[in-house]
Amino acid sequence: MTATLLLRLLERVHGHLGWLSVGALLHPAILLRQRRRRARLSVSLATGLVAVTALLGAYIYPSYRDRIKQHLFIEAPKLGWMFERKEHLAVGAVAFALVGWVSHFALPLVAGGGGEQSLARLAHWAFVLAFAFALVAAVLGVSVASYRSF
Amino acid sequence: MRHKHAVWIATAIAALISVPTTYALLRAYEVLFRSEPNPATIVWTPHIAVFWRIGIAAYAAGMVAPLAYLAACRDLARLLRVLYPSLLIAGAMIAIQGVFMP
Repeated sequence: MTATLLLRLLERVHGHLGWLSVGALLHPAILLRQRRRRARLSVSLATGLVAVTALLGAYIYPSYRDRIKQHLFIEAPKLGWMFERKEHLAVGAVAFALVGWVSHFALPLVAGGGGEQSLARLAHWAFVLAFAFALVAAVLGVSVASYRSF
Repeated sequence: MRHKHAVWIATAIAALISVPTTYALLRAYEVLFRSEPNPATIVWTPHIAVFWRIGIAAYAAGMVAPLAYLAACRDLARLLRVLYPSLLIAGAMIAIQGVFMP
C-alpha cells in the first residue's frame, strides 16, 4: 500500500469515526439531562471515540499541511478557512468531552454534598457542548473532504 | 463527600476547562494582533501552529491546576459551583473564536 493510499484510508476512517463520535456524544447529552442518571458506558464510549478520532486527525494533520492545505487555500480559500474552523471547534469538542467524562465518573466521590448537583450539571452541559462542536466540525470536515482529498 | 478525592477532581476539571479557554485566547491574539502570511503562499513550515497552541494550552492548564487546588482546599463547594459558568464561558470563547477568528 502506498503512502497516499494509506493516508486516504486513514482520512476516511477519521471521517467515519468523527460522525460516529457525533452520534455517540448525543447519547450522554440527552441521558444526563436527568441529574441522577448514571451512564458510564455511554460516557466512556463517547469520550473514547472522540479521543481516538482526534488522535487519528492529529496523526494525518502534518500530511494535510504538506499536500493539501496550500492547494486548498489557492483553489478554494473559503474551504481552507472552514478547515481552520474545524480544527478549533474539534479542540473544544475533545476538551469538553473529557470534562464531561471526568465529571460524570467523579459523581460518586462527591455524593452526599451539594457538589453532586454541580458536577452532574457540569457533566451534562460538557457533553452538550462537545456534541455541538463535534457536529459542526464533522459537517465542515465533510465539506472540505468532498472537495479535496489525499 | 470524600473531600480529598473531590479536591483533585475539581482541580482536574478546572485545568481541563482552561485548555480550550487558553487555546481560544491564543488564536484570537494571533488573529487580532499579529500579521500572518497568506496560507496560500506557504509551501511548508516546520511550525505546526495548532499543535503549539494545544501544547501551550496544556502548559497553562498545568499552571491553573495548583491555583484550582488551593481554591478547592479553601472552599470546594464554591469551586464546584464556579466550574459550571466557567464551562459555558469557555464554550462561548472557543465558539466565537472558531467562527469569527479562524
